[in-house]
Amino acid sequence: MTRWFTRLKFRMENDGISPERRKRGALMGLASGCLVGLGYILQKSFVKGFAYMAIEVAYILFMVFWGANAINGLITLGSVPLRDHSLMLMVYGFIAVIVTGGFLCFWGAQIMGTYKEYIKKSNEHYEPKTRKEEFRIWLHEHTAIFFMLPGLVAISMGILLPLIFSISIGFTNYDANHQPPGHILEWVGFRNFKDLLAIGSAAKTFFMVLGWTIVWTVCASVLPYALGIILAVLLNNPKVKCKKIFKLIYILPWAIPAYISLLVLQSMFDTGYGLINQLFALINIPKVPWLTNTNTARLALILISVWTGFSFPMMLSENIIKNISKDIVEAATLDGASPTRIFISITLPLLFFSISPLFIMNFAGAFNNFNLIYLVTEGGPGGVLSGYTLGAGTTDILISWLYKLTTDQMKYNYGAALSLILFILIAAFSIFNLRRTRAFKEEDTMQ
Amino acid sequence: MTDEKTIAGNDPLDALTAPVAAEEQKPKKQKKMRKMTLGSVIGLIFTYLFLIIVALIVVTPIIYIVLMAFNAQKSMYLPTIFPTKYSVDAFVRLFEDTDFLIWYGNTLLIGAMNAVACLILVLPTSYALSRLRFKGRKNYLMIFLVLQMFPGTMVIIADYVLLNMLNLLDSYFGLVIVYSCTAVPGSTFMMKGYFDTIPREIEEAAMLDGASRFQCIMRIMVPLAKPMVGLIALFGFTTPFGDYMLSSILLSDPDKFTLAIGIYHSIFSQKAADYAMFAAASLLSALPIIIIYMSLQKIIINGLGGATK
Repeated sequence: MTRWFTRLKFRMENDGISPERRKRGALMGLASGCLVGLGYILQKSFVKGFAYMAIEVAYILFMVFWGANAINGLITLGSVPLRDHSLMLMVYGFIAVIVTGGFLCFWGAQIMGTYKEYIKKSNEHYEPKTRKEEFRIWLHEHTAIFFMLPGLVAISMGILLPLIFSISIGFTNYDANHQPPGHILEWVGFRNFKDLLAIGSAAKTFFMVLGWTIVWTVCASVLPYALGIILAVLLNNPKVKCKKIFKLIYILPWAIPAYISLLVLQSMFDTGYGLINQLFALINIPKVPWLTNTNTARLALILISVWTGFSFPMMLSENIIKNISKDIVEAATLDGASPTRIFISITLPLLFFSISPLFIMNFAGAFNNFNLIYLVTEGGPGGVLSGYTLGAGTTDILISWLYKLTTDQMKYNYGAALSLILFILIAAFSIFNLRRTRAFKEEDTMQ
Repeated sequence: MTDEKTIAGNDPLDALTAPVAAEEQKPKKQKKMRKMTLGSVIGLIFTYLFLIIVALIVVTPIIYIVLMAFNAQKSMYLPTIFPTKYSVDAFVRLFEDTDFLIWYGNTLLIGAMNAVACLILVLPTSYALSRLRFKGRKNYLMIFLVLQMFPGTMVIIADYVLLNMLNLLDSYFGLVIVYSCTAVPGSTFMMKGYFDTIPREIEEAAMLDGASRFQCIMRIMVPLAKPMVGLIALFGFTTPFGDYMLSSILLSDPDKFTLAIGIYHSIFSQKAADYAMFAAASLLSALPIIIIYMSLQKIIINGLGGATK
């Protein structure tokens, strides 16, 4: 902060603007601060000034007739059941807050803009431009914002607003017994988080689910990648024939829509008549109760994750191995390195290096693999007997438990609190890891 | 020992014996080579064994589902491993007893809408991130990177309530909004990565000739980035084929079901499920996607690999 001030001071002392001009510019800025656009009007930029003023009038009208009420609704969440719908009031409140935030940014920006414009115009060498030219310059300065707009709107409306909204539900008592509009919701502070993270049956379930989630995430991300890399390396052996057929077969699991292969594999793991137990019967292995026993169900899930997940890393690493520069390999061969040596010292490091960012994303993908868990076991078997509460089963991971909390259990508040916990876990993990990957570091050097 | 060797090396007589020694060594080397080939043959056998076992494991469920689709019996509970009688009854039942074609049409429609929506949202944003330099650009990149990790499942309550307020439950439009918005961060990042590989000079030359930024995107960037544009459209198109969770919550009208919900609710999770019909439905709904993915695999892999480079 102090550095920023010293830099600003330095710039102010060295830009050759007289204190008189600066003072008048600041006055213009002050005028704009009191009444949006006033500074522009004083400088005779009438179109801009009145346009900005219109924005302020629109904002004030919005707040008087709608916004103030909405923000009040966000704080109280309503008072009369059936008339006030707490969730709606919450959303309206957020919209009012977002609009206010946007207006404050605009207000600050136009104060700075007024000041800068005055400094620019009061320069002796300043040549007045036509309105058309000015408009063109204004457009040019704001190109980036216009291009960013579609994506930013989509992200803020489609991801951020739902995210903020669901996080704030985590601070209310919204559940099966408190459903708007029949009930008015209340803010309960951190009570839901206390229930989930501190002592209690819900907390016990949370940590049991978290434990399996961690085991699952590691297995379901490492094993498919390991198999994929092994296959790619084996296929890279020039002596292996029929590579195309093998590759074609290995790509199949990736090309089939996930929910279909999951449902098919689920039926193959059926204890009574599933294909796997029938094949086991041929070689006199007793029937395995695949999906009705906790440990075998977990094993089955991991096997299925390998089946569905190894194709992509295989294709990827095959591509990477193929693209390793022939020069390096040739140079190494000339220096007398054996093929094994080349493989260990050149191919593998380069492979791991290029595959790591995608592996990290895959790690997050396994953490969030709701489809696999839910379509194969629905989180079961047996939750209650093993001490799980709130509908969780022994193979539930956090994300599938969240789904159950919000659909079957109607514990919307717990579900939302859990989504905030997930948010923090994923964000911390991904920021920590992505900062270190090449994709991000190269960005740093690019500018 | 070493002293003797150096002395022997210095001896002029040694020069005469040297070729002999080399000749003696030659057969030894060949023996070694033969051993190597023996080792590599064993290695090759194990390689093939491993490759074939994996291939068998991969193919088994696929063959199983194909055979089941042509099974004359409804149930999956067979006395033998594979069905003994085959017929196309399951396909006939599928078209006569269920709304399979309606589900198919819905899924195609949602997919097409989603592909277009994704491109509209992604193209300008990724262009700005790749070509323009502005305040906060790096922060945007970071936000996009982090947001792409979030699963839609996390905010289902919020999505449900918000779409309910907008009266967009049970409409394709609502579903497409959620699909395309959640796809924006990841796709933008991929697209931006691809744009970065296109040289700036082409565009600069066009701008000197008076082309606007918008024209640059439509006339230069999109044609040059065809593989990635196609890839993002393809991912958008296939999203409703693979999604069960979101569509099952947002759609409740049977006439608006997509393939995933239709197959799961009306066939798979029924009591005494018609397994042959399920197999037939799976086969028919997976086939086009399999064909698309198989024929475009090179583009997809290059596209995804390029995004992270």
